[in-house]
Amino acid sequence: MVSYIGKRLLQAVVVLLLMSGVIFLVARLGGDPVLKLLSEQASEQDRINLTIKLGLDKPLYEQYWVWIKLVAHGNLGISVLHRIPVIRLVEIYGKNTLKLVVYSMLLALLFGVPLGVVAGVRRGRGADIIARTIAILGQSAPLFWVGLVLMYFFAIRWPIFPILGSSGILGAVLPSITLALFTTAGITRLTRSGMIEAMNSDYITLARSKGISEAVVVFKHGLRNAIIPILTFAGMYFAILMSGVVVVEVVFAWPGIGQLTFISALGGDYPTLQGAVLAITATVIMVNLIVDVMYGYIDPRIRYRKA
Amino acid sequence: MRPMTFAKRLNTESVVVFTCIFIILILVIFAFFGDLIVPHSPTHGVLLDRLQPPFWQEGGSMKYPLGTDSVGRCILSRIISGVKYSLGISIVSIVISALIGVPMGLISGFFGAGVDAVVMRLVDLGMAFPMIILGLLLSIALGASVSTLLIVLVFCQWSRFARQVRAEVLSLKETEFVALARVAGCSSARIISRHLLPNVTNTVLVLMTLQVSWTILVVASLSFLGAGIPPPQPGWGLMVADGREYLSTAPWVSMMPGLAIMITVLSFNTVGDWIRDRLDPRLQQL
Repeated sequence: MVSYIGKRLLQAVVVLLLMSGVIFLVARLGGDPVLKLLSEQASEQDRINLTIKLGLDKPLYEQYWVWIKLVAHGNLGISVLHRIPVIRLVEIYGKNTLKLVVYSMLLALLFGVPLGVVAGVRRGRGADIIARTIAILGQSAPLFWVGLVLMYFFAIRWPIFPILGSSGILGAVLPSITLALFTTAGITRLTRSGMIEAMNSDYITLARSKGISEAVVVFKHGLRNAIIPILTFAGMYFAILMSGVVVVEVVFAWPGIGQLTFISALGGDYPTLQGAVLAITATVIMVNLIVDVMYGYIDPRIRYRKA
Repeated sequence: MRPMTFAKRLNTESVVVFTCIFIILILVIFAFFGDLIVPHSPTHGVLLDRLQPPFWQEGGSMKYPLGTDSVGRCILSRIISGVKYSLGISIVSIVISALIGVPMGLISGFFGAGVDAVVMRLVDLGMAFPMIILGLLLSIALGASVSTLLIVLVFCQWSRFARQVRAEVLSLKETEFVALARVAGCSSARIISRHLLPNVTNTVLVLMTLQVSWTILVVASLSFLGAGIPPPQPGWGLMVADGREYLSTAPWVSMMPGLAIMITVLSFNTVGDWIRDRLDPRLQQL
């Protein structure tokens, strides 16, 4: 197990390094950030001074090396727009994003898992049809549009919730529900297919033949095994979820890390941009790592095969 | 399953699938001939007719069945004309992704070891990068255009093909026919192209259909953020974004294109699932 975790950790570091290179390059593709940062009256000398001050006169690989060394020390640089350390910005905005992700995941688990279980056990019945409808609607509706529809009904026609930009609990309701529609769809679908596969297996027939009550068969023998495929896809879903968060945050003007990325990309604030994107992708890679390790822990077959 | 419930399920299901196939056919017609059948110009509006409601609302008329936007452009015409962008970009990106991803998956699965390690880290990279953010960054860097969209979609998509094909090859490699081919003196290239490739074709086809709805959604989301199909071309996501300011007075400007996206994606999802169940039931979780 230890060697398995070690190997996965090493792979994650390699991917993160590759990722940092891509992020660095893409952040620099946007043209000279100095031009965006200076006022229009700035002279040629001002431009040269700022370029030297920001270290942008050095060759690219040297700039990358400087950045990576800083990052390794937990320093993401100073935001050129906000004039505070990027790590503080990532912390503040990241917390708000985390709120949305956690709320929507809780909603999804609360509704998606029971719905998926019932749908998988009683295939073709009412609950199954409801579950499949929710699953396919949640995967088909564009998040930004769902957000606007909810906003129209619950903030404009019936002004129950604030429209935009409130990071309080009331302001979190609509963005969380928007995101939850997507996550619930995914969880329901995975739980359903996991349950169908588990319920068709020999050990369920065995458990039933032993005369165990149906509830124990479904929850102890069925659901426990259905969790494995749910977990496999959880890591992949997380990356997609982070994309969804960006869109939802822009729709509701929610002050999260997606919004931070969006604004710093538009404003030429490349230290913040690099830092925010690195934070997001590092989280995705970390979640995938945790999922893989948990996966190996729950299902020993995987551990032995991979190690 | 009892025969009664099975018959009932089959019936409703085939009706739904048939409807979705029908919708897709209409979309394909729109993609090719949309610009010939639109009632009004999709890019030029009549300012006097701005923010007209759809026909079923008070003040609406059949002249603009789905209403008009803030500069008096016919929403129906824009939706129809936008089909070719949504579908076209989506399909082209899927084909390119498959052309890159399938060989990578074949090689990675067949040779294993070092090649596999390199390809799989690249796959991880493609999977972990949230594509909306990559799309935003690239469109700011290179300018919002169709080719930027294609780069983003391929970057985040080829890894799905590579991963799936690699997994299949890993198990195919252990089969007897591959071992026999090797004994018979086939070269690696021949085993890959003649024995492995035909066996992953089904999987690749299923994955390709399932990717259509996903790519349409990504294109729409990027357009919504201003990083997709450049205006005045009628990108569906952009149309939804245009209507945001008028949400309280003219909600249809945002609602109609959003509905179009949802119906399109829903149809492709349903048909994709159906094809998967027919061709390859093992792929339940794709």
